[in-house]
Amino acid sequence: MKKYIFFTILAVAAVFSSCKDFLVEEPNLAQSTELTLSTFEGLDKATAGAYAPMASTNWYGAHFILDSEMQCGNGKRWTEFSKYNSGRYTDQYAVHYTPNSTSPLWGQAYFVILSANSVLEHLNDAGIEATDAEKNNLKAECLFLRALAHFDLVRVYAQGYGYTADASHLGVPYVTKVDSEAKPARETVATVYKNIIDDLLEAEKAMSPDYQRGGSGMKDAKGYANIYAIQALLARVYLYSKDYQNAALYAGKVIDAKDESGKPVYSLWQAADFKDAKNYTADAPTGGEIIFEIYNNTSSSYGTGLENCWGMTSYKQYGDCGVSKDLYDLYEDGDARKQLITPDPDGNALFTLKYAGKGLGSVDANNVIVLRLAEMYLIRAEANVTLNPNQAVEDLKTLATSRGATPATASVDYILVERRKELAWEGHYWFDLARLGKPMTRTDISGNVPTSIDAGNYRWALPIPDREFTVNPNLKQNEGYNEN
Amino acid sequence: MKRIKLFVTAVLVLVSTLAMAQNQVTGVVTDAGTGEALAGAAVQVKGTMTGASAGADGSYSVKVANPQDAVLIFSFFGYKTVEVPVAGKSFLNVALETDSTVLEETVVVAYGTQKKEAVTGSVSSVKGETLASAPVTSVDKALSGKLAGVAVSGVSGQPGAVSQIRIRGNGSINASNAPLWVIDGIPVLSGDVSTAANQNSTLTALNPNDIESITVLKDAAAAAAYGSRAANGVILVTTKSGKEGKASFTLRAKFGMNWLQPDSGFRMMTASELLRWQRAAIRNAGTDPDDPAAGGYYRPLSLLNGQLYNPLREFTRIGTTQEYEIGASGGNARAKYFSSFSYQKTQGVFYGVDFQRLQGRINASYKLLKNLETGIRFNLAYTKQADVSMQNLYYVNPVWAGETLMPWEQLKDEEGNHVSIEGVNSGENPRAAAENDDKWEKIFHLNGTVNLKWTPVKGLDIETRNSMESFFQNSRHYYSRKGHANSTANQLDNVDRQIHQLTTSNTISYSNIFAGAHSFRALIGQEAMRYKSFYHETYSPEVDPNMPYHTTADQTTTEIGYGESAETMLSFFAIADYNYDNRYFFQANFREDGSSLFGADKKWGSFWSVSASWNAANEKFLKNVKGVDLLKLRLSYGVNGNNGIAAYRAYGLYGTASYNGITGYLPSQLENRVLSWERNKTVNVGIDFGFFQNRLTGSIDFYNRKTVDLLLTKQIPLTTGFSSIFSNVGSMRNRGVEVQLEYNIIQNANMLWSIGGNFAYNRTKILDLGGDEFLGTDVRQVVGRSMYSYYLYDYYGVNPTNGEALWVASIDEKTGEKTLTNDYAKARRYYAGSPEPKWVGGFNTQFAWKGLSLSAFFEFKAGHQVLIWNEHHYLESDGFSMDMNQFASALNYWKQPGDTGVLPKPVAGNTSNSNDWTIDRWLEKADYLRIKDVTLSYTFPQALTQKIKIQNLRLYVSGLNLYCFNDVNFWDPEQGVTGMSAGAYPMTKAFVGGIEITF
Repeated sequence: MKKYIFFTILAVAAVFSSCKDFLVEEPNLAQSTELTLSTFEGLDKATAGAYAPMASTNWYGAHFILDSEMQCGNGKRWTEFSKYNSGRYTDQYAVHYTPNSTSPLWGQAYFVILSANSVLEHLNDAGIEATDAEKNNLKAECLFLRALAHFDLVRVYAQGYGYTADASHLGVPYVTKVDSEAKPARETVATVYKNIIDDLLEAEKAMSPDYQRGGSGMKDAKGYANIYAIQALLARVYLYSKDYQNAALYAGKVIDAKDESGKPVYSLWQAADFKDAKNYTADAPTGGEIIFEIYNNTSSSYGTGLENCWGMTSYKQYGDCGVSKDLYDLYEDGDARKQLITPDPDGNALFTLKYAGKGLGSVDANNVIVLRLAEMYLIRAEANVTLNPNQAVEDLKTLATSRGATPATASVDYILVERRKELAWEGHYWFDLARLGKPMTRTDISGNVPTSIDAGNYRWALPIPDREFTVNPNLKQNEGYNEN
Repeated sequence: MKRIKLFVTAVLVLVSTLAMAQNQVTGVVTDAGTGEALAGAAVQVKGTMTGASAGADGSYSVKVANPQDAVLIFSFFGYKTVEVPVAGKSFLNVALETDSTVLEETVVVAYGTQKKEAVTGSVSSVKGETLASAPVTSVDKALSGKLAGVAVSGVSGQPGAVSQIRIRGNGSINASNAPLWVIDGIPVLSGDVSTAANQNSTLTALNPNDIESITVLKDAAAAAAYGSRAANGVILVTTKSGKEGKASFTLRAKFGMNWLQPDSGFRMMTASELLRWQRAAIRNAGTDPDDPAAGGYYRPLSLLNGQLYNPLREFTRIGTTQEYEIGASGGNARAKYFSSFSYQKTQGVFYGVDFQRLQGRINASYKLLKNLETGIRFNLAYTKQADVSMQNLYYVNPVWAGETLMPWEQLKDEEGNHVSIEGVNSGENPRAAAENDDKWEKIFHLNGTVNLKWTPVKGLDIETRNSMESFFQNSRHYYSRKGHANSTANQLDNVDRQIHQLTTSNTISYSNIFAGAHSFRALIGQEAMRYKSFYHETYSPEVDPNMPYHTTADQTTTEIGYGESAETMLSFFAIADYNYDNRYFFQANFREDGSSLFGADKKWGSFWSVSASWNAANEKFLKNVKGVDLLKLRLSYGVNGNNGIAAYRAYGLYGTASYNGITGYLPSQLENRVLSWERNKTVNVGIDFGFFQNRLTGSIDFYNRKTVDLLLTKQIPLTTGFSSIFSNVGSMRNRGVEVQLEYNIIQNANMLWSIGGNFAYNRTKILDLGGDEFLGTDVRQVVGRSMYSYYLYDYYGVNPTNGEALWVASIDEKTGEKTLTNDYAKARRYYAGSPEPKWVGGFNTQFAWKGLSLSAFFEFKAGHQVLIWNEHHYLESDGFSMDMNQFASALNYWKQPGDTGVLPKPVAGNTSNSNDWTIDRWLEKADYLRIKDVTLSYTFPQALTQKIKIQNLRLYVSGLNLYCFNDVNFWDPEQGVTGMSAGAYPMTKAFVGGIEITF
């Protein structure tokens, strides 16, 4: 009798004591988030993976770049030639967006933000075996990605920085935590910019100056952020938020960057580099201007397929995104950049060669440049228009010389034109107009599309996707669009 | 037992005082309690065929050859049978006592048995013998139509295929809708475990002859004791136990055949019909079928002069079934045993389809001490399932190939062997594949439970049950070049899988009766379950056909796969029963379950139920009312759970992503720490009744079953990084009524005629999908509608002037006027129907006269539709499929202006979309009534068989699925719960005959 009672008690005790672990069954074949983020190797791979979605056609792979180019007058749908009218990019060209048909950046950017935040939240967990420097480099990369994603979001879905005097108009939610229950409200544009700058400054501080992500099989070192990418993005963000002192300072940091042997890290392309657009079509460029770009080839997880920048801007594929004469006519003869616009073989419609592909075959791909040296010269010039006009003139001259072109006058308006010529089809001009509060005007158009959009028009901020409002009551739609 | 002896002695004393006469014995048979005459009571002279039945006044008269030694047997349904020695008397009055075992029938319920009278929840049960005669490979098939509210539907008629069982409708969208199977107190695995075979039900391991009874727990109260997984009801299977007494042996043998035969008039076209149809279609397309330049459309009449085949006939055969079994049971005061060993082999109607089972069972118990008992229940089964790929429109699928091959396409070589020929059916000949390929799956299935029960004091039981269920599966698919003309290689694919489930169930129960009328039982228990499965797959793209194993493959091309899944559960529960004077019954259940499937913060769920019943028949005011034996009202409410989802859905997961030549990680699933149980809240009101000495019995139940916290993919803000997360949102409802009735029209010693039936009416309604209006594309879940809604384009009919298909573009809401269009793109789309039957049920009748018994069982479903769009798309194609045979129904097409009610005119190469998939033209009313089982059996009189020491000798013949009344233009109206199947093995018809000997 005693024996039975003893065994019964023993059995019950055993059952209760093993309760907690008994109900845990880990997925051994998939990586649980918990497991992935519990080792340095996992965190490192999760950081490498976080770059991947930026290559998607929802972002740098096509829409983020091409939408803005079609909106701003650089792009044209050559609809008189039916072969270039597949019906794509019509709403973008007409700047006609609805909450049901808007930029796909929203989900894509927040996915990268989640990926970055997931790493950031676990970097300092106990048990992560790595040096502080190693951890800090991942931290810097993730902060950079988070800042870049929010920056692109606020540029697409909010009015330009100067829309209100104190930038107190609606920006986007700034997400710094992993929380599937979160229903965040939109921050003001000022707050978003402040958070972006804070993230980037922290990233600058955290990253080792010589850090460069690598690994066996890596194709393109410029496909990952380094210290100069952080500084270059800071320069741009400062310029957007009209902090000219810092814009000039950070643009200078990149322009003056020297490697260990004292040679400049980046150097301006020269006219010869533009021949056959080879500065834009290299698989893994070394030297030259490019600071950070999105790498793409046909084995990438994102950005493959025919609707990427190559397929949309090439007369060999859809060709819906052609170049307007408005843009073409800006270039003087002898300007090396003029070679980057080509007529199709029939000599009818104009197309950019910045995404001419790498010759990978029927489905081609190309890298998409995010940050490069020429922009740094233009940022410093614009920032110095009032602070240091001489430096501005000098920078504009340096750039023009390398392009075989006449230097622009050191005023904001002329620099804007110079930016348009230099950075056309790299996703800048629409956002430049927006931040400076300038109207968009175009004359070479096809079909029934607006020839101008006034500064401050509701169309400068794209609508947030409709579905968000059914699941997030804290979100407000931009003015001019229906909110469900 | 003592009482019977006393009574018999009393009768003996009584009759001995009245002794006299010689050959003729007369007397009156009465009810011992009321003194009423028992009209129809049977009197038989023991050991002879001589007998008589009592007249209206209870009197009888019977001739006895030897009045000194003769013994009379008096029997009457509902009364205890007595044997009275005549002892030379000529006048014998006998009073029979009611047989309380009939009235106090017990049913197996959760964690025990209960008197039927005391059950407070909604249960239905069926005895093993009513299931055993059907020649089915798994017992779930035999449940069809037997129990009110239990809908059994099959998709496949292949031996070993699974059934889809729905108790009170569909209660879930993403989680399981299948009930929990519990065998001898232990939850077991159910469903499909096939790896290489088309389907393989876990339940094939169970021998229907081993089953004592099956009880289905339907409402929350009945099922709550299994709270965790009881949301879809529980099926309790109890296997037979040995009884105290001499060893008895049972031998069974069964032979049968099965064949394919649709009952709706469905058939394919003959060669000449098809050619006529094709030539019309080609002419309608503006081409001359007699012009050799017409290329693919050159279809001269001379095609009929060559060798013609009926492909379906080539690929099918008369299937056979054989089954042999030997069983032994017996026991003494300490030990009891029941054992069986059986072999079954079924050859399917398609070449290559075979099913074999070798099965053995031991159920034994042993009293270690006066108050300590141990037992083992062990079932071992080996099954081998061989087949060819079906259940989809594969070229090699024999039913699909049989339907599609044109009669003039060649199937054999010069020697008459079936061969695969390039260009014919894409190089596939199902019969050549069956002959040259290897496609089989073997399963060793072990299921054993060991229990130990300790009764320290009367009424207190402490019991532990520990069980292991294991599947060792081994499958091989050798895909030979010889069997497939287009194949470039001899491929081999092997899968080895193991599934193990360990369960421990420990209970302490106490029951007692206080102060005579207060009866009480309390039970507390704990259960734990661990499930683990894993498989290894090996695939070689090219092996040597002479040694077709992986060893002959180029090892660098061999691919291996691995997968695994694990799940655990832990439960604590309590049950309390109280009953006052057999009039008022109460029961409460509580259960706390933890499951590894859910989020870290919400693994535990609480489930409970309360129920009460009142047996008015035992109240004073009804106690003496004649004819009312049972009149019980039941009321219950409870909450049950459902965790029927795949493992790891609560975890946050990372997948891989390639960028810049490097493979990194990206989030692929968001963690949901609060993912938890889906809950069912069920109210049940029921009434059970028995009238006229229980000649009329039945029950009626009303229920409302609401599912809340539906496991759905919930839409979330994209700012989280994802658009959706798997979580608990949404709700749905099932409401219905169930009726079960049985009536013995005639019951006397020699004759019994009974009828019985059940039907259930159920409506499912989706109440909330977590913000979405609907889920799905063509078959949708829609708020305010039932579980499945077909969302289809509105086909109107044929344009009588030109034979083109017409579509309804829109319907005027006010006038109801339809705007028609011949442009498919303009057709309106609407919710056209649903595959969920509103009415489900069955009825049976049994007629027995002496040893002869004839029974028939019918099953029906009504109020639903099926959508056989795959086959119709190709085989009623209006000319779209010019290289396939067509349904004979396609001959009824438009031929001249004015023709209405016909199919569109066939145009070769039809591009009008008149045969698209998602059109309501394929929607058919699926109401059916099936003659499921007709059995004629004869049990030889014991007097005769005992001379050769045989206790029981029974012969029978059965016809299964003899006829199905339906209007579905296909093999069978049963198309599974979604009403859609493609290339499924059709339901077959069967005849079996058997013999059963007990000695």
